[in-house]
Formats: sequence, structure tokens, C-alpha cells
Amino acid sequence: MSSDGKPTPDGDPSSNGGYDPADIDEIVAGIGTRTQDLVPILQAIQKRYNYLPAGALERVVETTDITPEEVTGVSTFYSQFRHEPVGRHIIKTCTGTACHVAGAPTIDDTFRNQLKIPEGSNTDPEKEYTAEQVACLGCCMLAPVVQIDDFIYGNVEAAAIPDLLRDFEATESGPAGSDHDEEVTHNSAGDARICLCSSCVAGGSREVHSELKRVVKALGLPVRVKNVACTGISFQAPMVEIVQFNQGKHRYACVKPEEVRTLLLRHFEPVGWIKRMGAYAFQMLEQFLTDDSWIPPTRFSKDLRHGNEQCYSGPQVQLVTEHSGVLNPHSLDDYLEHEGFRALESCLKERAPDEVIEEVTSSGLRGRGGGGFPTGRKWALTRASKSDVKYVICNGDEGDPGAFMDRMILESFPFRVLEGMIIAAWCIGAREGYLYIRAEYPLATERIREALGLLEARGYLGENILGSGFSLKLSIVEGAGAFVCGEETAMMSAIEGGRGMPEFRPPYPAESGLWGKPTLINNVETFGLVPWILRHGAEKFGEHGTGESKGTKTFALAGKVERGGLIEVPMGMTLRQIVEDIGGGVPDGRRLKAVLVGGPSGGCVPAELCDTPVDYEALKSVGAIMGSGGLVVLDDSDCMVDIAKYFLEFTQDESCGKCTSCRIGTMRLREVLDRLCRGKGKKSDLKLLDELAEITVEGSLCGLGTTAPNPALTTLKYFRDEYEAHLIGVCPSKKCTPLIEYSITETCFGCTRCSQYCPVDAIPMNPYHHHVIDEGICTRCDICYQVCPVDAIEVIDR
Amino acid sequence: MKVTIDGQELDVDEPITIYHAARQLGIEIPTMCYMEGYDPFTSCMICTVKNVTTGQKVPACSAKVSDGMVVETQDEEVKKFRRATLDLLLSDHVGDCTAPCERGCGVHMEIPKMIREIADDELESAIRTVRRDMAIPAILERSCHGPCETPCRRGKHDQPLAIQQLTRYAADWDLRRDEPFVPERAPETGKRVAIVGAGTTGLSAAYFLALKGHACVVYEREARVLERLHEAGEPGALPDWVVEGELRVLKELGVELHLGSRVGETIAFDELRDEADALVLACGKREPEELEAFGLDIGKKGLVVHGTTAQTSEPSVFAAGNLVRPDARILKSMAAARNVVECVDQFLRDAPIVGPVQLYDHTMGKLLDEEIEVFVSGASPIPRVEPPDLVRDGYEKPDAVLEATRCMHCDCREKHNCKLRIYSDDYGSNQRHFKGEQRATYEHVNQDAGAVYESGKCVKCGLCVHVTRQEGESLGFSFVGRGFHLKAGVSLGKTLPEGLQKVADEVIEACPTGALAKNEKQGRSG
Repeated sequence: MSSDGKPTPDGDPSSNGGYDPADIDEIVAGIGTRTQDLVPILQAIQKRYNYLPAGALERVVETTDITPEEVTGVSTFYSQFRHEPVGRHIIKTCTGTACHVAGAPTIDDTFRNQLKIPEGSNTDPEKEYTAEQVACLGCCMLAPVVQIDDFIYGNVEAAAIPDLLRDFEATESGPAGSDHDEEVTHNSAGDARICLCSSCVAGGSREVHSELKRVVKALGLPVRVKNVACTGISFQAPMVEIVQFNQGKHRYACVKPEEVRTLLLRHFEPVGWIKRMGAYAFQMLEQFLTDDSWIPPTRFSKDLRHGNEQCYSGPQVQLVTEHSGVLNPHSLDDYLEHEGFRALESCLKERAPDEVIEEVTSSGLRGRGGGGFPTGRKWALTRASKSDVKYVICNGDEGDPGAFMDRMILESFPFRVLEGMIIAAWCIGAREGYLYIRAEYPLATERIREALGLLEARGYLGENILGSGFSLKLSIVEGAGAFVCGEETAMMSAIEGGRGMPEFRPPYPAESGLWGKPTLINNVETFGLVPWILRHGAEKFGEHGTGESKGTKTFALAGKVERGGLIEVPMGMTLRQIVEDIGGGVPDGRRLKAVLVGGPSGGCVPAELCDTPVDYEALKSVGAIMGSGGLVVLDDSDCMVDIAKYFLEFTQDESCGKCTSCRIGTMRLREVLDRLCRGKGKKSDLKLLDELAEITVEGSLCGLGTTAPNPALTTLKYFRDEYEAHLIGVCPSKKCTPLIEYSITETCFGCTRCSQYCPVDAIPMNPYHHHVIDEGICTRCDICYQVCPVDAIEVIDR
Repeated sequence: MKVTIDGQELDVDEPITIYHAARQLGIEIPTMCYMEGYDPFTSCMICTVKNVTTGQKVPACSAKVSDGMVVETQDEEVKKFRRATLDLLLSDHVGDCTAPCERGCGVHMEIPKMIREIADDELESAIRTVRRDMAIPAILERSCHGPCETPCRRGKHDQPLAIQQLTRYAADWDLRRDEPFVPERAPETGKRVAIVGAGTTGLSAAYFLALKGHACVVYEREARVLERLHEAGEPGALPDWVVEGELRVLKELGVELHLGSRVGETIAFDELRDEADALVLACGKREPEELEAFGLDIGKKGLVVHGTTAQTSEPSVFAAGNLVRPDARILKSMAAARNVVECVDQFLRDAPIVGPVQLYDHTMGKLLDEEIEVFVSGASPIPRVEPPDLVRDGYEKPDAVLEATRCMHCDCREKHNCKLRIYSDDYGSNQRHFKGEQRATYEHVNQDAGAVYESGKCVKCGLCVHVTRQEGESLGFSFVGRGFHLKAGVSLGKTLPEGLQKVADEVIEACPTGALAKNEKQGRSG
């Protein structure tokens, strides 16, 4: 990510004690001197020094029109910015919901133990590594996820962290492969398709992609290695789809780089006899030499069309994710070949803005960012506002931990989102617009930036679009780490270069928004649906969904399901159908307990209410909200009080601090829940939760505060017995570490494995004897439980 | 457009805010973060009112009126909301309204202010401060056991301030003058109060009732006042000139004193009761038989007196002091007098009898050693200075001034105009309702600027940021951090004097609490 560039030697604060004014001047010269340039300037400074040296900030004030107040206010508002020097590498443990339930807190602790990072600090004494937590990396189905500098690791296990660090140190210097496709050769016999979105890369698809390209080149195979839009089947990443033109498709799941050569040779023959001979010889030789390690293709090939994938994809309806697995996110031509920009062309050439707005209105499309406001009405209101300057903003600040729909859509379908946005701008009469993209989504930013360049070069953006006389300039604004910026008034303040603090509405943005001008803000997915609606008509869109909730909705399905990933389903499908039919149910023979809908603003829907359809009103009626579409599935091993605490920690951390009731109310809620999880709760605490929830909801300006108590309120409503158990110091799910103990049963035969893996040496090594855990030292990291070969570790009430 | 606010109708031409519309009707909506001349920031939410039409609660500083809108600014729902919001602010408020000494004092005299006045050698002001809350101070300070000194924070560092001696110093100075200070009386009420007993309770009650404009007559059976004090004290502890001086002040306040008047003997109880509008029995410990003669109800524990109203079985007859609850401490007599005076006054004004109304008083609770040191850093480091002979002499001026400079100014500089305190009092807020797990550490930034900054008292209203921005202060204040840890601080981490070069006074004026206050030089009164 942009903030984590490798520090340069002169950027090391210890070597020259600070910064070079010339660097700052160069940065300012390259970006600008206005208030709205502040965040990019700070990001550039941090990229250079890995933190913001105080002197550098003063230099910014001296050389720009930006005031000291703005510099201090903004640089301390966004979580991305650091004011203290850090280690050479930055480890970010994702603490998104899916990662949390998959053990992220343990992962973070283990890194800190492993690297001997002292208590109260984030950096090890050698200044090699800094350990941080990050709200959500958006790779939820690979949970738990860790990012070290630019590398993302999925499915991280605490016990494997030493290996992971070794791997990082070994590959640190290796160049990342190019995402770009090979040219299609005239005699191409087919494609090898692979997705390189953030989640698939976290699953290892970058290595497989490089190997595909290397093998194709080395063996001279007539194959084009194509980078495609994500199928959303991330639970099987890395996935390679082999398309033999005129013959058919084969999908291979969980492919390893060492399997690539065999896989390709199974379907394609090298061109030219020398190479062909070489390949045969290789195959035979390899079979001969490495017989026992030879993995026949059938063993890792999964013909998904008749298995898992059928169920996974079957019930889905793909509108915004149309042509997933086929479209190349880098190729405008590919998008054009798949009906891309037909909608825009027909708008510009054949239709009037009012007519298009009418179509969007009658489709019943509602905002997909969470609010559910009718999109057409928003467009009409903004169009009706009289002003010579108007703006359009695409809200890509997806911040719910456990949600990654917007990231996947931006990474996989950048042109589609932009087409919808251009149409919207044309409808309302905006000539300028911004895409506000979350700091943690560098790939989405990169792909959108590339797409903007292509569109400008080909006349789909810029002056006089497609000869229509309509002009539009779109720019990217990168977030800097503030969940609250997903709120529209906060986002506009952030784009203007200020602290992302929400403001009282009215006036609504449609009337007075960015720089006081009428502004239309829609979410990524909302814009992404517009081209489909205009191509197929409002009526066709309305065929999907329910009375008040039309069309489809994407969800990030994660947590305790067999098959997690990005899904798009018609509105009205029940949560149970999603979990059971698409997600394949809860794994490991466990029982479905609840589904968390709508992230930290939403609520938990208990298993018995999982026949609730996904529909704005129906979800509201059970205390949840549609939100942006995060679905985290919980099983009976998850503690609901811990979940409520987790979400309150998140919202409390992300509160901007403006409204009294959110600033202090969320902290008090968090403290009460924390108390309960430590077994220190008081009887009056349950009443206190209600009182605090009430004032926090009533006294907050924006959605963050008004919805923050939802997770606590719904868990309290549906799982009151668990709260009451915590009051007497018992965590029924054995999750809350202060309330549990680890012990070793008689099954132990003294293999010493637990002792070897214990990161805090709480288990003295005693070969061939029953091992014992020292409770005073044990941090309840669960590693012994995971590594014991005979399941001799048990978790008991304290 | 027509709007209705609290039942009153108003016609406005343009959509002004509810706050301004209410103002036109003479309805003052409380707010902390809004200030005339600045855009509303909408953060404190204290101005929240109910839009009856929609049922929603909206911030009056920002929400505009619309035609037909009906607004309630003070109904129970709104009050409950404001109380809870204030409870939240209080749960995160680090500071004390009044100083520990003031809270320990039986009459809650504003001790720190008096000490600062002594340090400044402004004794005229000091005696006013003393006499506002304390009757017969020169007598009391010679007899009281000093509950004000026990909680003094300076005592945790070295020794507590010599508060009693300092008070006595101010009072003695006053009484030695030809014309001692006589506080101004409220206009005559035409009511007459008879007081039985000229002990500490009776004389104190007479003093305060006289200040409230009531005509007071005191009946004492002994031939001299303060019989018990004279008996209990060391010889010479209560010199005649002191007693005479204090009686002179009482006399100038119009208090009549009848010595040797035995109720039931020289004067009939019924007569006393019927001639006065209220009768206060402050005659000290008495045997039940003596009381029976008055015809008042007697219970197992003696005279029946209502705990709150201090009334006996006869509504116009009140009782206070050792007669009700024997306790030799002067502190108790002073408190009893203060209590009965309020009850009598409320009775005479036909108001509900609730006793003294204590203004909201925030407390930090126990302080850490390092927090004590923060307080000490603002005061003179010398050890306690005492007069050579504690009983007889009292302070000479130089010693008194020296001792006074040891005071650490524990009371809030803005305790009389802090909006948080005033509103918390208005809405009956409680700092323990939403008590947090851990109180933030007390901080105090002085840096020799014109202002003192106590960040723990900040309510994050943003006015200091907005004022310094709008007035063109070159550094000024900015928000630092976010969420619960949001603070206001000088931009770029600079010092207070650097941040406030131009508009320190304006910023202090704008700050709704005591977070930013004027920095008086050491020892200057405030």
C-alpha cells in the first residue's frame, strides 16, 4: 500500500535525525498547495519516511496555503498517519470481523511475542518490524489475513508465524510479477485465466500467475495467460481456469505453483517439435525421477461445474458482477466486447437525462451503500438543484470489517463502475467527479487509475465525450484510514482536505455538498448496476427482488462457512439459503448460531430467524440492517458478548469524536462489554447497556453513532442468556480468555509438540511424560490446542 | 412561516435556526458549542430539542424552522436527553468545581478565593469573601477543629494550608478596624424571626436570616453569649474584643439580643411563637422535660424534628444544632445554622421547604501523586508558615501572605460561569451515572501564557479552534486525534503562548468550561 513504501537510507530518521526540506518541496511541487492537496502530501511524506517528521509538517505549512491547524487536525485524524518513526517493515494484522472470529487477536499477539516487541510499543528493539492492526483488508474469506509491507498472507495460523516471517524475509526482495496479459498470439489455442484481485493474491495467485507465464514462455505453449475479474470463489483461490477454444473449460482450484507445468501440459501442446519433444521428455523424466511426489492432475482438478461451484454459483444472479471470470479488468476492449459502454452511448445519443433518471427511478434501485435511499430520486434532486457547478462522487470507502464487495467490484469491474458514474454525471449535469477509495485498497485504486487513463485516451472521459458535447473529469481521492468517511458529509469534508467529521443535514448534498455545490454521492455497487439497468430496462431489473427491494445485492460471505467469497443474489433470498446453499453450510460439523449482517452498524440475526429474506425492510424488522453487505457467519464456538465487544471496539476506535454521545457513549458501551468479557460485570450493567445505547443512538449526527449500539442491542436481545452467564464469570463458548483456562488431559503421551510451539514457554518440556501448562504464564493463544496431535488440550472454565 | 415553540407561536420570514427562533420568543436554549458569530459546529448536542411534528430530536443550533413546525424545548423527553448527555460529559470530566477545603468547610466558604485575596493583600475583598458564607468568623476560627484543612491537597505534598489561621487573620484585621465590614442586607421582608439561644448556631442563624432581610431577635438565658464555647475553650482563647466586635456586626445588621431571657420563665413560649413569623430553637442540649413545657412533640430521641425541613410539630417552630443532634463540633453548628436558615427563609417565602440547594459540584476523587505534583507546581514551594503563638497572636501580614502563596488553586477558575456546571445543576446530572473504567490523568498547561489550559475539562466544542481560525491567529488551536481521545491543542504541538498571541482573551471567553481560563499571576485573586 502507498503508505508502506520501503524506506530509503536517507529516510531513516536515525541516520540524519529528520527529513530533507528539498524532499518536501519536491512533494509539494508535484501535488499542489491547496487544502485539498493536504492528504496526498502527507501520504507522500509518509511514503518517503514511513512516518511524518514534525519538521516536515512545518515545512508544508511554510510552503503551501495550508494552515497549521489543518496540518495538525488532518494528520492526527486519519489512522494511516504516524507521527513516530517505525520499523523497517510493517506487519498489519487484519482485525476485520472474519479475521477476528478466525483468531486475529492471537495472530497479533503471536507476532508481538515472536518479534519480542515490548509491551506498550509497536516496534521491536532492532527497529525491524512494526506490528499494527488494520480495520479490514477486505480478504475476509482467507481469514485470518496479515499484510507485511506489500505482501498479503491469507489463512495465517499462529503456529506457522515463524515460517511466515522466514518466507517474507526470503522473498522480500523478489519483484512482484506484472499483472498484464501476454499478447494473444495468432495461433493461440486457449486461455489460462486467473484472478489477481487482493483476495486471490492473498491466497497465492500471484505466484501461480508468474509460474503460468514462465511455463508458457519456456515451453512455448500456445496459451494466453489472462488476468480476469474475480469469480468471487475465493475459498478456492488460487483458481486457474483453462479455456481451450472450441473445446471447453476446466477449472482448477487451490493450484500450487509447482503444479502449473503439469496442469498446462495436460491441455496444451507446445508449438514446434523441439519444444514438444522437450516437454515430453521433461514429463517422462519428472515422472521417472519424482515418482512419489508426482501428483496426477485429477487429484487437484475439481470440475466445479458439477460440484461445489454449481451450488455456489447456481442460486446467484450476476448483474453487477456480470462476466466474472471472463472479463479482463485491465482491458477496455474486453469490456467493450461485452456490451461495455452501450448504456452510456445510448444515453448520450438517444436519450434525455430526465428519461434516464425516470428509468433508474422506476427500476426501484436503492442505494447499495447501506442507506437504501432510492437512487433515481437522489439523481432527480441533484439534477433539480440550480448551480453551474455540480459534482458526482463514487463512495468507495467501504469500511465495514467483514465486507469487501466494493473492493472486488472496483478491482474486477472498474469500467462498469465508471460507466455508471459517467451516466450519473451526465444526468445531473456534473462536469467533475471524485472516486473516494479506501486507503487499504491499493489495487482497487491502481486499477481505477489505469481505467481512467484508458477511458480518457479513448474519449469516454474528458472533453466532449463520444462527440456528445458532454465533458467530465474524474479524479481519485485516496482515503487515509477513517471509517467515518463513508458517511457522505464526512467524505466531502475529507475530499476538501479536512478532517472527516460529519455535519448536520439538511442541507443534503443534493442541495449543498462538496464545496457547497450540489453533489451526487452513490456507492460503487449502485453505479455498477446502472449500465445493466439501462441496457435491459427497469422492468427486467424489477423481475429480481422483492416489493420494496429490487434487483440483486452483492454480499461478502465470510466467517464459518465452507465456501466464502463475493456473491450476488437476488433480493429476497433468505439468509439460510445463502449460508446453506451458496456457502455450503457451517464447516467442521458445527452448528449455525447467527449471521452478522451489516457489519458494525448491523446486527446479528440468530439461526432461528435466518429465514429472514435479504430485503431492506425485513432485515430492519429483526434489528439488523442491509448495510453495505457484509455477512459473517458464526457457529456455536463464537461468543456473542465477545462479538458485541469486538464491534463496539471498532466503532469506538472509528468515532470521529464530534458528537458527545458517540464520542463518550461508544467508549462506555465498550467498557461495559469489556467488563462482561472479563467476568467483572455488574448486574446493573445490562440496564446500563440499554441506557447508553439509547443516548448514543439519539444524540449522534451520523450513521456511525446512530447504529453503533446495534450489535450490542441485538446480541443482548437474542442471546441474553450468554450475557447472564458472563455476569457470573462463565463464557459458554469458551472464547473470552480471562474466563477460561487451558489444561492437558491424560491423553497426553509427552510428544513435546505443545512445548515446542508455546510462544511464551508456559509448558515445560518433559519428553514421554504428561505435560502441564503454567496458568500464570499462559496467554491462551490456543496454539497448543491447534498443534496437539492427540487432542489432549482442553479448554475449561476458570 | 409559522412555528410553535413551547406553545408560543412565531412568524418568521426566513428559515432561521430553531435556536434563534426560540430566542425571539425569549426562550433560551442551552448550548455549549454554539456561539453567535460562528457557524454551528453541532457537537455538544445539549441544544437538542424535539420536533413534535416528526417526533425527532434535533440540534436547535443547526436545524432550521419550517412552516408549521412544532417544537418542544423543555419537555421531559428533552430534559432526559440533556441530562444523559451531560452525564456522559461529566463521566469524562477531569477537574473539581470547588476545592476540597471548600467542600470540607461546614458552610462551604470559598476558601481558595479568600486565600488568593490574602496573598494579594486585598483584605477588604478577603473579608467580604469570608462574611458572605460565614457568620462570626473571628469567633468560629478560634474554636473550629478545622475540617477544611484535613482534605487540603497540599497536605499530600507537605503540610496543608493554615486555612483557619488565615481566615482568622482576615477576620481579626477587620474587627480591629474602626468600621468593620458589614455585609449588605437584602431588602426588608417585614418578617420577624425569634431565635432561642445565642450559641454558635443561634448567632449564625441570626446573621444569615438578617442578611436575607428578616428582622431577628435572639433570646439567651445566660448572661453572656456563647456560654458553651467559653466553658470549653482555653482561658483567653476567646478574647472579649473579638466577641464584642462580632456582636457589633450583628447589631449593625439589626439583630436584637436579649440576654438572661429564659423561655418559659421571663418570656412565655406561646407568646414568643405567636409574635414571630418563625421561631428557631437553637438553645443547645436540653432535657426532655424542659421541652415538654413548650408543647412540642417529643419522641424517644428527644424533640421531633423533620430531617429536611427542620420543622418541629409546630410548622412555624424550627429547631437546629445540639438541641436536635448533640455534636460538639463547631462544623456541625455552622452547617446546622446554614440549613435551618434556608428552611426558615423558604417557609417565610411560602416556597417548598427543601433546605440549602447545593450547586452541582464535580469531583475528581483520589489524585495520583504525580497529579498532586502538577498542582504543587503552580504554588510557592515553601513549607507551612504559622504564627508564633497559634492561640493568642495570629498572623502578622508577611507570614500570612507567604502562607497564602502556598495555595494550589484546586478550585476551578470558571466555577461560577462554567456552562457544564450550570447545566448539570439545571438538569440534575450525575457524574457517576455513566462512570468510566478509568479517569483520565489530570493535566494542567501553564507555560506562562495569558491562559491556563486544563485539557481534562474540555468538552470538545471546538470553539477555541474556530475562534483562533476565524480571528486569524497564526498558529491557534486545532483538533488533535479523534474519537474518545480527541483533544484540542495548539497546532503543530507548539506551546500555549505561541498558539495564543492575538486572541487569548477571546478564546478564554468562548470556552464554555474551565478548560481554558485566565492565568492570574501567582497570588492574584480571581
